[in-house]
Amino acid sequence: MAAYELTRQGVRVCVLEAGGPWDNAVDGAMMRWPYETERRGGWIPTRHFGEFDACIGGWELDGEPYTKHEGTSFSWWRARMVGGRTNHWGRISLRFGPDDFRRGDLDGLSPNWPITYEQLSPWYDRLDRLVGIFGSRENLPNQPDSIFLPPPRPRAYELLVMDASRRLNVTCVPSRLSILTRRLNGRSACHYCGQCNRGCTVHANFSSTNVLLAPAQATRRLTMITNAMAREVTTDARGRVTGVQYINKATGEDTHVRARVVVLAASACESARLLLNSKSARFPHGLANGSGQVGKWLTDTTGTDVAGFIPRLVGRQRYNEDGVGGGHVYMPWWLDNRQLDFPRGYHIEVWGGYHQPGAGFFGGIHRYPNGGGYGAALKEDYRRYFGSTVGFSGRGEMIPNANSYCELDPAMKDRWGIPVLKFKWQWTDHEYNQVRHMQQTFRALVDAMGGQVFSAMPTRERGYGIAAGGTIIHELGGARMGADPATSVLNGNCQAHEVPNLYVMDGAPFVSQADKNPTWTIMALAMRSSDHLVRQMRARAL
Amino acid sequence: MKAGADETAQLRRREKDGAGEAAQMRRRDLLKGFALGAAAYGVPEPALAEFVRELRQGQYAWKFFTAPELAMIRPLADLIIPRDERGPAATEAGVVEYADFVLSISDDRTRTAWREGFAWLDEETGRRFQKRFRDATDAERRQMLDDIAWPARAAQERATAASWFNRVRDLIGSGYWSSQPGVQDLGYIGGVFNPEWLGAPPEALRELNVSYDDWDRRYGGQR
Repeated sequence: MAAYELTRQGVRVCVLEAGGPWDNAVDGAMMRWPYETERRGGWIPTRHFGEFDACIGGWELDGEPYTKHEGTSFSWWRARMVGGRTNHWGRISLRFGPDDFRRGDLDGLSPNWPITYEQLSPWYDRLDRLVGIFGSRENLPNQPDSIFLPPPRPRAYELLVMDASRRLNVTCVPSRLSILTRRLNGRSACHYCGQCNRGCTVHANFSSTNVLLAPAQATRRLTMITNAMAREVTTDARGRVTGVQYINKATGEDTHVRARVVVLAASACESARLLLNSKSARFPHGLANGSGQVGKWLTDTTGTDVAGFIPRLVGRQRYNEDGVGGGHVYMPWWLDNRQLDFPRGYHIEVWGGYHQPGAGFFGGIHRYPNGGGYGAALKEDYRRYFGSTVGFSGRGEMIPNANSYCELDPAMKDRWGIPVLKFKWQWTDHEYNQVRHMQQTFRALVDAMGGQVFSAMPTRERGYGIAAGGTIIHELGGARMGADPATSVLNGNCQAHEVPNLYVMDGAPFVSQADKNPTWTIMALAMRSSDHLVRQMRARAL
Repeated sequence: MKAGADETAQLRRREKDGAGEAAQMRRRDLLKGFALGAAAYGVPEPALAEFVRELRQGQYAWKFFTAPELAMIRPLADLIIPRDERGPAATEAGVVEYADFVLSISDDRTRTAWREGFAWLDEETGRRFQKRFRDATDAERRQMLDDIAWPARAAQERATAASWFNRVRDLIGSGYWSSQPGVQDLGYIGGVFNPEWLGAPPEALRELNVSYDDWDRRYGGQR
């Protein structure tokens, strides 16, 4: 986003990308069938979400280790390709609400942001118009509407989900996804193949390669250097940044690129790592880290899933149920935390239906009513039970805490000799109680649909089924914004307190999570911060 | 793109002429698909590349199953997914090769569990029928499976065997249904360009007793 905004404003930009090039139109695997490969679309080492997935990367990368404190369970996802993590996401594009920026005032469990919803709102508007998003105007509290394209009709089973939600007083509305249901800005509308994650060949959904980097490149002001592993941000005697030192992964050569301003957008933890690795006499604890706050207040979204078998869906009529690559309906947070034993909310994502069979298809059929078996009867069971499963995934707000952070490992280095991150992670009862509530709600929803859940309610000892830190891939924080330089790294414009020509424009500036996915807010913030950067340059303040 | 979609539709319309044809078709599709895939990924997975090389040479080299295990997994796979009027048997759809490939890249725990399962099956068949599983009659093999194929009612001492059989069924099942004849048999009709999304057809809504009336009133339009 920064590259797009800055080149548009006439700034010459050099992007350092740790991975290789990628073009969805050429490289995407849309419309391929699992039976075309012997892996049937399943997990491969470079693609943890299946070999057709557009995102090259994973929780473990060859030659790029990370370490953990004893007792810590945390996995760190890295995308190594042009467009980074925007090649891997569900396109769920939710604005943070007014309350999400002032949690300090509301419950005091995390600080207020230095900016308000009202300040960010015009940038969300611009983002909606630029990227495109479908959804519906609902006027729900703390769930601001976007400028929406029309939402696609729900799938048949999603109508059952809506009906069950209504009976349980759970708000269920059209999803808000950055997938085009109408042509927009020269991009085609969706053709409903349900394969968004493979990289859309016709650019009908959002990834930054499609929508931002191509136009940035067209300005001729963008230089893209791929396979460039950034080692550190360099500074001069005045404490201003002068550029970035990187390793050419192809040749092993250590190279420097000079810059008037440096913008870090390497993902929350990788940006924190770069700051921590940029040590100098003036910044002995890492760049812009006089406060000691770099790497701190790291969060991920909380998550847990429940799936159920719905007898009403057995043997139903086949139709092309692919739709867009994600649920057509979802449940935004609908309750008041003051009446609950956990302080922050979650939203619910819905899945199920007739999806393309690939590796792992229909695992666990012994949990269905006929209990397994073999032979002709089993073969018929597969046919009858196909499309009769509905699942719910909760995605909730974790509160930043002092025991969840990343720092430099004192000894270990990656393959290029760059010190690696060491993670510490700890949930609190805020998260455990929230996830218990998710489990109870999802079980009630399956029940209301007349279904049966496949697994027993997870116990407290198993964290009520909470997904391990990092596995939802929504890491935020590590270089948080704030008004006070003693307790924050960046100001309200995502500019380092201590280094005016250094900005961070990814998830690292976030002060807190929300019951919403972060991408839309990362991008709106980057737009706003880029605008600030350009004004500062024009005013010769940088 | 468009051509790809058409081709896909054609493939799915094509009638199956029997096992040999299905296997051949699968191999052709696979080679074609992989040629696309290799270009798409730049650097293909070495293991996959090797697999394709072998296919080009006309034979698959077994990577996980030993010869005695192959003599067990083949009849087992077809006991799980037999041929019927709607589709071929597992072995005819290339499922054993698929299982072999998956296991060849699986973790050690999974591989060990599979080998132990085979060993158990042979020993248990020996105890009951004084022969190896490969030499057992169809009826004897079924008796063996009857004891482990329904984990909820399997005897306590066969719990491990039953959970091994869950793995076998899951892998053979997913291998069959994700194969080209399996997709046809299942009646999955997506994975194609669908320029206008209208949701579920009226009959599909009627049988669930739901409708788009509320939705369309609120959110408007055909989609």
